[in-house]
Amino acid sequence: MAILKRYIQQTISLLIILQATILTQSCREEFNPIINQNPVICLNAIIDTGDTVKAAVSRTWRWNEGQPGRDFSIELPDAEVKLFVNGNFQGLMLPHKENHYAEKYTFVSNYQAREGDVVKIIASHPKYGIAEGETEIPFSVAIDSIAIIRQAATPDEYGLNQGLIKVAFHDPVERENFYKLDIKTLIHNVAIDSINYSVYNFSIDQEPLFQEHLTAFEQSISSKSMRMFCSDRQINGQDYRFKLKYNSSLQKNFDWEQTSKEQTSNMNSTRNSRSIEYASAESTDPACYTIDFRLFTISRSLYQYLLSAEARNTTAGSMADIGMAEIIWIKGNVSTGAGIVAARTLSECKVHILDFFQ
Amino acid sequence: MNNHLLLLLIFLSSLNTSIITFAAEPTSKSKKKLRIDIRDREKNLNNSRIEEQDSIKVQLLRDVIVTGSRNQRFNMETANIGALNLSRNTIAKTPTLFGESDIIKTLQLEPGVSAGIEGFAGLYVHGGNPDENMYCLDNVPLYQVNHFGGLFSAFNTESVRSADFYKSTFPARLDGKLSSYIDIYTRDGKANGYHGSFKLGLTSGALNIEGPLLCKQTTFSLSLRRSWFDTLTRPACFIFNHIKNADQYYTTFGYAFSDFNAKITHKFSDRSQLYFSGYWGDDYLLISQETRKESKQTYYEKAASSFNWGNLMASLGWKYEYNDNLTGRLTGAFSHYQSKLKIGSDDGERIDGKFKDMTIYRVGTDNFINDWRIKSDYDLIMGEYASLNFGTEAIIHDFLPMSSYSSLEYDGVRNEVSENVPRIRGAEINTYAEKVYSPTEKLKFSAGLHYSYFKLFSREDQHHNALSPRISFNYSPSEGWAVKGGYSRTSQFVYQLSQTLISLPTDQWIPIVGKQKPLLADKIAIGAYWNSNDLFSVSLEGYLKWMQNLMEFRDDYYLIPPSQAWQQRTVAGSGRAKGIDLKIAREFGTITGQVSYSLLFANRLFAEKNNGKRFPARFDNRHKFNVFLNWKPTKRVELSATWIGMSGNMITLPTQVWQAPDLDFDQPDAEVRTEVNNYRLPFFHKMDLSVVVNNSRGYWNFSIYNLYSSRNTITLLRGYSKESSKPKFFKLQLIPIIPSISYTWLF
Repeated sequence: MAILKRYIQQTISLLIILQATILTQSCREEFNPIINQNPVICLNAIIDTGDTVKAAVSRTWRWNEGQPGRDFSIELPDAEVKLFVNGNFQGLMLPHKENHYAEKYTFVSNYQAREGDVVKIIASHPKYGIAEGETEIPFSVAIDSIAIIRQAATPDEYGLNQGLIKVAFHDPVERENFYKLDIKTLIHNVAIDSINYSVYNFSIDQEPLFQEHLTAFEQSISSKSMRMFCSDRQINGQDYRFKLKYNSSLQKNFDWEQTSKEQTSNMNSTRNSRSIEYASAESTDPACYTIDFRLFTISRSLYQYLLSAEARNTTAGSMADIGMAEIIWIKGNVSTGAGIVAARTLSECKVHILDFFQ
Repeated sequence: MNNHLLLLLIFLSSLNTSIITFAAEPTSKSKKKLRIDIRDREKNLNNSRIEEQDSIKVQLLRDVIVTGSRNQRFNMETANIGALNLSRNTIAKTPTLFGESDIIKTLQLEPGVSAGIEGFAGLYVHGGNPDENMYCLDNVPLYQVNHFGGLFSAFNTESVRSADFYKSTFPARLDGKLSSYIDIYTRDGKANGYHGSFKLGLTSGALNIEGPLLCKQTTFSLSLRRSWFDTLTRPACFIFNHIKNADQYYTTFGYAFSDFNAKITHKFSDRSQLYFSGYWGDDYLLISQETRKESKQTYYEKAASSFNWGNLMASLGWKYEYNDNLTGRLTGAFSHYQSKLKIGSDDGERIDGKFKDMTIYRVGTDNFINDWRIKSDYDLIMGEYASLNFGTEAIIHDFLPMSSYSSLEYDGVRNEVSENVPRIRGAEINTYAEKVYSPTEKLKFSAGLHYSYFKLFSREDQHHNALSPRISFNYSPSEGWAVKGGYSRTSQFVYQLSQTLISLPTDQWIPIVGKQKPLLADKIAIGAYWNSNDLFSVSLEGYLKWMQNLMEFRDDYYLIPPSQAWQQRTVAGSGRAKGIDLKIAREFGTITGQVSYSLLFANRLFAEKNNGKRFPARFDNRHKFNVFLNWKPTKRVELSATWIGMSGNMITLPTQVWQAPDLDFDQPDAEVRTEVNNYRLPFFHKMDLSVVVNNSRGYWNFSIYNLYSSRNTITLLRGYSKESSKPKFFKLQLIPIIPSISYTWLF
């Protein structure tokens, strides 16, 4: 299916481009449109439950002004940033740099986010005005279990197999929830007793909820990332299992250097370098042998932000890029239209890699 | 005189002017040129019937030039404003992209009509939207009028006899769309023998056959058109599969569009005629991949995706002349529009030809409309100075706005998600009456009323009434001059939701539901016309237009799942347009053509868009110039050229961007919202050329799109300079010069 989708994406894109360019090459010419749009404050805060609230305050910039951080700075360390929790002023958030050489400032408060709190951040700057955003800290939803179902009882002659992962949880009925499922690393490669175990190619094609915002047409042709998020609109108050397809391989007589080279060349661009660390046979860290499934309950603002980012990859989004559809705006919830104040609460479950092979 | 009448008979048979009677008189003694004065029954200057002249003997038919124009009649003798007749000949000789003559692209050359995206068959009339145009094929409306995303229209020129286009004021019989009406009439077969043509072009081929069917009273005309794309892609896939994949994976890709027109006409008598008209148009896209290599044990994967969308229409009509003064037409029709998308995959193991551990995945959506309609229309001549048109129509609608399903079968467990927005059935009744009255030779009034009733069966509270008055006048102060004015209201119960500006199978035609109200447009138009002895005609028209209850996608429609009721994704608003259309045309002679200019101001107002502030329409092409020239230097050669120059389209261009938050994945910096359609693209201009070379068996058509390769800007993009890698804005310029060729065999 994945192969087909890639193929479909390529061919449909080709078809659409063919329509648009009509068998011709397009031409781009530099241009400086005369439109005055004033810079405003951009306020970004992704709040993790249990962690202190942090915010990034910057200004927007004209696209052809240059690259922030290289040509100029958009940081606003002189901004005043106020934190309100459940309507009460909690205190000022103060600018910090991670270290002396860091470019970015982060505004930090002492307040640790708690489930159910309503957090509001107001940032003001004498030159760029005021920006404010608000979010509710979501309640956690625990992963009840993770089941792994292999397609065949044993790997084939090449040590390959496919399977399905079912991540079970219960959706609380009393409130509207939004979920985001994460796998800490998308490619896992571990050597145990000279056998190389690999789990990779997680696919969201089998989970209808992760695609509920896409039409069948879009499911066919739009390029999807591994953004696994959804609302509880269809499962409100129910037990549900997210389904993910995966591939696994088992290779005996393991030659790490050779295997590593082959796999590096074959793996896709989403490869996380930490998976190579995990693959070290000498590692004694038990974390190296587990795959971490993380179920976030996320705020509505984060859900809508993710939806809008995903919509950019749809046909309408692609058409908008070439002027054949209206622009799809990234959805933020900050008063200036720039930035997002959102929150997430984590529930985690670890699965040992050998569970995929037993 | 007798000769003249027979010539007129021949001439009028080429026009769709069945209710026209005529008088004819020679204007000079020359045998080579004859001036014809066509007058219609509304003036009642001559009610002679053609059949009364059957016994005329004619000896001279050669070297007589007959001149006459339905457009001049529209301009000078009716109270209609902004009406136009297009013959098949006019459509065929208009230069177009890939040489595919196209009625919609011919209409794009008219003043007051915006074309939308370059190269596509968009039609934005007087600041309206593309779903506000009614395309009637033999009096039956069609929904999907495009192929290949809108590059080609669904109407095969070979099957078209003529078309009438109304853009400013409308006859009372026409309602159901806000902005324009295009009445397309298909060809009747010839009774004097079998004829046909076969056209071979770069993108498609078309076959047309016509002639008598069993007897001379019955004739047929068949036209078939099909694109070539899949005949190229399928062999290419075959070769690719054998060379590249060594048969392991078998890939198939095909796209094609087809349309088929059929018309059978039977004349019971000179007063009674029955006809059947059928149309089928379809686009399909198929992509599949399958593991083909057989071995004892192998991984098997088969995945396929198919999309189909198009129209089917069948109508049966009976036309009867009760007497010299009353003509009636009875039409029964069925039309069907559908868009069907399916994708699926089967993967698992194949051991000795048997499948094991299969994962089966299916996804699909359906969208369709079925319409059954019956209508009757009557034309009544009421004495010397008045006529009355009246009629009624009943329609049963059956809508499936969207049905989607998704199923996964894995490990013996089947999960199925099916979200069916229910079928909605409804009824629509239309009735109208319009009287044309000429109190004096110089003055003519037309007053009509169209009443529509629309009800959805599934919802008790869903019923709407729309009363659409039509009033217009024509005053001719002197010979060759006419001044007109009029008011029209139009209503619309079914609209299209489209995420893009081109035609895609995901576009949905849906009725107004819930608290939605019928779309309405009120229009006032005035015009002045001058006609100079058939050499030139000049028209100057102005209009004001108010539109209410326009439906569009919300700005953030993507936040609502597509399976949710569509009305949650839409917003209602209003629009205004005003403008001037100027046109100078020459229809007769060696060199014919037209030069036109239009001035347009069009805007929209939606409470939930642009902070509730009014904004310009996307295709508010403020100034638009069109030139169309046709030159016949010899009998064998005919040259046509068009030039378009217009103010660019409006686009929404944000210049400020904001930094993306730190999340677990890469995201581009996002734009800061700005006012909608805040930037006008640079001036658009291009020239097209076509040359037709006739020979004894047919004709060649050589055409060049965008002759001087004007690189018109289609939009502005954000990107990075190749040289300095600095962020820049870029103009995206698409279509350069494109030559094409086709040949048509005549037999």
